[in-house]
Amino acid sequence: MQEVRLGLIGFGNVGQGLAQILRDHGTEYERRFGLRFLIVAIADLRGNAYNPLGFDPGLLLDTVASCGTLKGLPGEQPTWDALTMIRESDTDAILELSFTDLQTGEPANTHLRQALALKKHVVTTNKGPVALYFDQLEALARQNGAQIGVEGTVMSGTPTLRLGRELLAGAGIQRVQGILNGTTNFILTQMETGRSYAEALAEAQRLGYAEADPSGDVEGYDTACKVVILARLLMGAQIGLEDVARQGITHLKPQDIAAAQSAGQRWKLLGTLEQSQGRVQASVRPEWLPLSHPLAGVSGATNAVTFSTALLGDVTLIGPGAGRLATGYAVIQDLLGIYR
Amino acid sequence: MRRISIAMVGFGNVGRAFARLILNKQEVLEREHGLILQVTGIATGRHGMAIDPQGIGLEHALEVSTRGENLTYLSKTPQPASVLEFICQVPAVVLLENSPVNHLTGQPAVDHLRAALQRGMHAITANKGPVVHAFRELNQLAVASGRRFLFESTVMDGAPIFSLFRETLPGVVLQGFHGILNSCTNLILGRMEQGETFEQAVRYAQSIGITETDPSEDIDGWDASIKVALLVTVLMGLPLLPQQVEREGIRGITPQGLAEAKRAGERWKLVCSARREGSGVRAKVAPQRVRPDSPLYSINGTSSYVEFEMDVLPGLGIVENDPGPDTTAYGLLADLLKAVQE
Repeated sequence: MQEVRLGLIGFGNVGQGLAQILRDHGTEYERRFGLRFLIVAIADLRGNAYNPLGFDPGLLLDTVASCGTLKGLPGEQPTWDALTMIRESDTDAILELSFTDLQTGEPANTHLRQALALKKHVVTTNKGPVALYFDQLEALARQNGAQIGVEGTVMSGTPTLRLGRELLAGAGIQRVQGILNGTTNFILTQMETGRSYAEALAEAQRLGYAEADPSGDVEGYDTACKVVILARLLMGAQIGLEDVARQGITHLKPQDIAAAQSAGQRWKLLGTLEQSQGRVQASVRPEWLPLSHPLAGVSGATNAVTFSTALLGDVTLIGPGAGRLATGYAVIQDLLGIYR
Repeated sequence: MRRISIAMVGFGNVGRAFARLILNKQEVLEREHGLILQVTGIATGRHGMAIDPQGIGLEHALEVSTRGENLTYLSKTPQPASVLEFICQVPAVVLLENSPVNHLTGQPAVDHLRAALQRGMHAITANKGPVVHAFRELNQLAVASGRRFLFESTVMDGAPIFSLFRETLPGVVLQGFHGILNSCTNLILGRMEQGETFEQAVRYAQSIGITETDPSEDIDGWDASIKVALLVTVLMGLPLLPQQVEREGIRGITPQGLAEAKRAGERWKLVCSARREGSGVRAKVAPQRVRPDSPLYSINGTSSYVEFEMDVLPGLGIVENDPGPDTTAYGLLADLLKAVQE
C-alpha cells in the first residue's frame, strides 16, 4: 500500500467534494489501486490545520458543516498560511483548490510554483494560473521531476482534456468547439422560456450559478480561459487571452432569442478553436445552432465539447461543468493519473 | 523503427477498410509512432487463406478480394487446414478478428480470439458476439498472458467509450446508462417522420448498406440488445446476455404514432437503457417518445448517443455524429496502437 499525503489549499466546494469522495470511496481506492490518499494538511480562510497521521475526511466535513470553520480542529496551526503549509507539512502532493483570479492567476500561481520547487506534485482546478502560466508551470514541474494535473480546469470531472489528449489525438483533432460555461448556458436556456436577460441572470444568481459580479461569466472571460487551456493542451498552441476574439451574451434581447427560435435554431455561447494553415484561431461568441446540432440539445448548466477529427468525424462529450462531487472527482482522476 | 506483424481473420468490409486505412496511414505511423505495420496473414471463410512472413502486399490483396477471387495464391506457405491452424502458424503479434459471427454463441470468433491469446498474441475485434459471450474468459486470458483483448469498435464505431472508462474514469461505479445505439432504426424512424413508409425507409437503409438483406436484427432490436448486454457486461461488470435484455423493436411504430408525437413536439426513438437494481441489472430496448430538451431528440440519421450515470459524475454523454465508413477501421487501429505501444 502506497500512502499519498495530500495538502489542500482551499476547503470550499471542491475540497469538500474531494473529502466526500475519499470518505465514501477511500477504501475502494486502497483495494483497487493500492493507494491510500490521506489529507494531512489544509490551508483555508476558515483555518489551517496539520495532522501528520491524516485527518478523517468525514470529521473534516462534519466540522465545516456544523461550525463553518476548521478552527479548533486537533492540529490547528493558527500562524500558518498556504505558503507555510506547503513548506512545513510533510506532503507528497499539493492540491490548489482556492478561488480563481483570471487576471493575475494569483495567489494560486505562487502556491503552485512553491510546491513544484519543493518537488511536490500539484493538482489544480484553478483556471487562472493554468490559462496564464501553464508553460512556465510545466517547465518548473519538469525541472523538479514533479507532475501537474489540470483536468478540473475545464468541465470539472468530465474528462475533456484526457479524452482529447490521450484518446482522440491520434484521430487528428482539427476543431474543438464547446459550451464551456454553465452560467451563461443556464441564462440562455432561461431566456428561451421568455425571460429577459436581467430576469434570467437574477435566477442564476439566486440558484448560486452566477456570482454577484457576473462579468467573468457573461462577458465570456471564463470561456476564453478554457479556450486558452484547450488550445495549449489539445493543439499545442501557445496563445494567450488576448488572442481570443471574445464576445459575451449581455447584449442579447428577447427578440434575438425569439428570432433564433422561429428559425429552428438556438443561441449558444461557444468557445471555438480551429486549426487553419498551421495556425490556431480562437474565439468566444454567442452563435446560432440548428436544433439538430449535438451542442444545441445541451441545456441548463451542463457543458459540452465537440471534437472534430480527421479520422473519427465529430465526437461530442457532454457533462457537468461544475459541482462539488464532479470537480472533486477531477482531482481524483489527476491523482490516479500521477500515482496509478 | 519497429515492425509489427498482424494476422487478420475475416477480410470483408471491416477488414478491407482496415487494410486501406493502414496503407493510407503508413507514413504517419512510421513518422509519429515509429511503427511499420505488416499484415503477414489473412484468413477468410470462403476465399482461402494467405501467409507471407515478409508481409502480404495489401494493394494486391484488396484487388483480389474486391474481385471476389481466392487469396490462396498470395500465400508463401502451404494452406493451413483450418482458421485455427492458420492462427497457430501465422507469424504475427496481433490478431484482428472480423469474421462473420453467430450472435447467439459468439462463435467462431471466440475460438479464434482464445487461440490467439493462448499463443501470446494481442486479440482485437470489431465483433460484438465474442465480447458479449466470452468477455470474462478472454479478458482473464489476456491479463494472464500479459496481452490485450480490445474491442473499441464494437459500440459506437470508433468513438472511444471503453478507453474512456478504462483510462480516464478510474474508480467510478457505473449505475446505469441510456442512449441510441442502433443507427439503422434511428435512420428509419427519421425517414418515416419525413413521410416515407416503413418499407421505403427499410429499403433506403439497405441501399446505403447499413442493414442486412434480412433487416430484422436491427428492426426487432437485437443489435441494440447485444450492445446493451455488452456495455453492461464490460462496464458494469455484470455478465448479461442479449436474450436477458427486455426487447421491443420498431415494427409497432406507425405513421400515425409519429405524427401524434410530432404534434406534441416530440420524436420516437429506439432507446437503450440499463440500471442497477439490487445486485443485478434491468436492461431494456424499447421505442420511446423524447422531448426536445433531451439530448436524444437531436440524434439524427446514423449518429449515436449514450449517457452514463456514475456515482461521482451524474451524467456523462457521448455523441458520435454521422460516422464515416472508416470509423470502425480507425477503432481497430487505435486498439492496435494501444496494444503494441504499452
